[in-house]
Amino acid sequence: MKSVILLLLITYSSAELDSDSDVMLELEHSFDHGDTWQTRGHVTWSSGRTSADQLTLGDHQKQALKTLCAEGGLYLLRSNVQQAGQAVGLMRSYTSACSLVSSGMVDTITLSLDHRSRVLGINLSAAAPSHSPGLRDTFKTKIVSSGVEPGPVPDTAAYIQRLEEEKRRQEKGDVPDNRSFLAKYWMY
Amino acid sequence: MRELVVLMILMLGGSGVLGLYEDQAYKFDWRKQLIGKVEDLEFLAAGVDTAILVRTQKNVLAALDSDDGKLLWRHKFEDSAETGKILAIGRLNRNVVSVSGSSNIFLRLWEPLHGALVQEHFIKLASAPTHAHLVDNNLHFVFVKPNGMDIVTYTFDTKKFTEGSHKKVSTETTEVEKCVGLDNLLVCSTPSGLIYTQINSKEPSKAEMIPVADIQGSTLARRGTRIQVENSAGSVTTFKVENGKLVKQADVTNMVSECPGVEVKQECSEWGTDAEGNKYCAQYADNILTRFKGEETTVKLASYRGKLEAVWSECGADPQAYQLILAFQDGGLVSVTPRGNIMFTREEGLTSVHKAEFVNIGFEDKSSTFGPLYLHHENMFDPATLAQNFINRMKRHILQLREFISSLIQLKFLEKNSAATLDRFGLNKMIVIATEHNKLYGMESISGKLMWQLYFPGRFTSAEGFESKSQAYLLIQRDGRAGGEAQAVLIYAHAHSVHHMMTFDPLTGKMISNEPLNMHLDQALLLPEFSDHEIKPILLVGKDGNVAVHPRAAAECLRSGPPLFVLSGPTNSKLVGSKVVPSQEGSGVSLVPVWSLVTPSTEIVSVKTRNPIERVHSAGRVLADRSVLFKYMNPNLALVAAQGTDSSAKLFLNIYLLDMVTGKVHYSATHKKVLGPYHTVHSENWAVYSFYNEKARRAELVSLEMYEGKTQTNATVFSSIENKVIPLVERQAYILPVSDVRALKETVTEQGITSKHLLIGSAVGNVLDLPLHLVDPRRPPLDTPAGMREPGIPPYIPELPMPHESIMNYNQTILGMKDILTSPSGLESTTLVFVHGLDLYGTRITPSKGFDLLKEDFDYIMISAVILGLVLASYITRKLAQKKMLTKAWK
Repeated sequence: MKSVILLLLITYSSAELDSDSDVMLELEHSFDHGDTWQTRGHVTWSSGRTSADQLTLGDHQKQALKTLCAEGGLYLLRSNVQQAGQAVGLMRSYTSACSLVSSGMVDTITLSLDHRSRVLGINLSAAAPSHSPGLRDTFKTKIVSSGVEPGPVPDTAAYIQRLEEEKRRQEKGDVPDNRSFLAKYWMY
Repeated sequence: MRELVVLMILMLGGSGVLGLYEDQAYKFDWRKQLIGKVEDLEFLAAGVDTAILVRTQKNVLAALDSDDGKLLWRHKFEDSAETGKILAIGRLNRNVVSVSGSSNIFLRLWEPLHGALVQEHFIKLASAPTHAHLVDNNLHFVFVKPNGMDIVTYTFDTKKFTEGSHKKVSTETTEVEKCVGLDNLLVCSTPSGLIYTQINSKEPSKAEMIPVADIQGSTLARRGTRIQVENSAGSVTTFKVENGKLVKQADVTNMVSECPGVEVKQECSEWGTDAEGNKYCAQYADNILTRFKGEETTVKLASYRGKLEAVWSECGADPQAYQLILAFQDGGLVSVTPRGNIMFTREEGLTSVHKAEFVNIGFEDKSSTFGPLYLHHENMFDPATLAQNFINRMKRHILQLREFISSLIQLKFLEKNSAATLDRFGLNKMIVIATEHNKLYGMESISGKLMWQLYFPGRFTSAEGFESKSQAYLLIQRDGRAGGEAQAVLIYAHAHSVHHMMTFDPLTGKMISNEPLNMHLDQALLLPEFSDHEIKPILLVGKDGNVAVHPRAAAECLRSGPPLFVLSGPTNSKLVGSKVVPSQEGSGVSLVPVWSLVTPSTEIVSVKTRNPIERVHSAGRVLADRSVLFKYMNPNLALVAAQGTDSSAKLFLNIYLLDMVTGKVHYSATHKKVLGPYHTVHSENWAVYSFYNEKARRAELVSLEMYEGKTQTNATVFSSIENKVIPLVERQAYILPVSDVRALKETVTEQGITSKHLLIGSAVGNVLDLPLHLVDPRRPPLDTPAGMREPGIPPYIPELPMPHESIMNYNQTILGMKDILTSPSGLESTTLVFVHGLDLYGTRITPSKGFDLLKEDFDYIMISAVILGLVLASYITRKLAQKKMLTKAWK
């Protein structure tokens, strides 16, 4: 019996992940709409901090990005996501090549988390156009997360409290009827 | 308290007068009361006329008039099969008996004329019976057990209810598919043949077996004094009871009925072979043959109804007079006289609407000589287009004038032309309905009249979620407005083959083509209209990732048009967004997955995008301080709802606002301890969703609104990829006045100027017409001073009101409601509404009142008299003034 409980505990703890668990992204990118993929590097996110280990881009890759921008193409990114040492799956995102170039290769990866802080998806977006746009040797990546908030609930407490206050005041009789004569006796 | 009173007045007054006047009842709306596909039928001699007692697949017990098929009364039992399914109907003396439920059985006795409940008995069984059989005042339950069958018999009357005998029957097989009772004989179908046993003898016995080759167990049926079963090729084997034994009748190979000697036959006119090589009937004969005393009569049906599934008959005192009632595959119930004339027809297939769409009929009369006159919508402000449109319009007016003059000359204007009744305001549309009983219907939205029907050999299973959606797609490629032929496509899973695509005219019901798709279809999407193409192309996505565009020529438009993204393969817990990439040459198209979102351990229950025909009139809203808050109107945004089970086995609901182009989650929220059904509506810059809060035991509605802020980034073009705006999401929850929401829909109008209303359909059968400003998430707290409040938004009260005058369908209850459809009419003020379920209901509503309509009691005579009088008076005074001036001048 004890072992069963232990087992249950283990499964339970694996289901409820820590909110500040490490997330590691093994990034791959494509400059030809998904025909070929090249390794971009690793990015790790732990307790709100990003540490990146990304490869430098070769000349042909920079050229590919440049031509991709010229034709208005999309820069695709995919990543094997690991959270707390467990593989979560292959996730994809993309952004326009030009926005990357104009931001000076500064990008942000947003992790969408569910209510148990598990990664649902990644979203790549380039930073706002910078003063020094152009191609760089490496990406400068930042990871942010967006979590789930508890859904709104009807605010009944305040309403009931107000109704009761209103009632109490009326019982006390200290509520002056300062309506106008017309409002008091005119029913329409 | 005073504030509250003011508030109430504000809320009622602000929402406008919604109700109808008494004399307006039934004027703008219609209702069809239906019962569902008939499963069993009995003739009742109730009073002077005979009535027909039926039980249907929709858990309805009803009585129909046997002469005209009109509904006398009906009772809808619970929706769930567990409590509501009607197992058997019968008669006891003057009363009607119904047995319903599964393990908790209700035996009810009804008065046959008006359907009043006479007596109710409750039986608690250990398990759900396989079959229930009523013989006079005996109720037999059959339980199939591994070692045989148990038969439990109860005796009842209008007062008492007593448990009778238990009986064990041993059988050779346990795979019992269906049982029917014939007086005291119980006959069941097994994979190898029929087994039967005496039901009323008390001692244990062994069931006897009659082998039937290639048996279709589900077709086993009792027809009068015979038992009939079909084999997979559709030929009928008939059995008769002789001395308590079941005897095969080799000479009867047609369907027989209660009346002795009446046989009914439907030929198969075309055979087909499925992928496994099995033979099936691809097309049944249009006409039904009846044979009585060696004389054959042909019954001509107005439309093709598929397979004849059941026959019932009533023999009168006169041996030559009988009434036949035929039930067809499409849910149609047809009553026939001995001469082959049709007495009445009921379209019960309409109770299982799978897909329905409004199709614009168009303003122009198709039969006139005007010809198609296109209005070029793109580049509206280009001088050349403007000139072209203007010339077109002038041409049309001249043609109309000529037509009018010629009709005047020929005195034709006195004739009541059907084209003249074509409504000028576009209040009439065609509702195209695809039912789960393999039928397409075209229905006039203004009257509910069926205009055409078309059969398709589809297959529908009881799958839920995305599975059920992919069973059939009804896509309107072109409506009647453009002037040319309208065109729509129905993509359905063929009963014996792969998916088929049927192209038809949605206005006339004429089939253009019906061809198999050479792919295992995953989903079909209607692509937006391209400028140089007049029909909307269809994108077909296969299960293997293959993609095709139909028609093929549209691939060219894809190459020149804006980039297209589709949500491909929404499985239970994964969404994948793909870019549609047309190949450089030829008509090939492929999908490149560009984003993904996995929601582990939850199940995506709905993905709701904005209505593509919706137009938004204003880009912002004015705040109390006269500044403008701009709406975040992302056309690619979808509201995704996913349901999961938490560690304490309670359901939770996750809501995501997701950009379908980039896959970015803009907002997500979770609700714990909820229950379905979940309903979502997404429109303009707002979304609402409803669910049942299990903890507080009430239905709640959450309202979300997205705003860009005080500045607008780009007013003309929206690009999900370039747009960096993070919308502000305002949110608020409300308590709904109805606890069981069946449908949720928003009104939609032509230009989006009219304010929006929410339509909330409840299980009780009413539709609440709720002004949207009542669920505005920006409703201020109650103690906000009047000066700080935004105009038109009442202070926050958690409960939503349900005034009686805002019930859209006043006293016209809509039973078994499933969904609400809305569509704009030609008038900006008016929205067309169609509600379907067991009943069908159509009406039109004016959310901001009929501001562009004259009142019905508008006094034309008075107005013309006043104008005439004014003209006359001015003329006379002019004369008088002239006279006065003249005399003045002479002085």
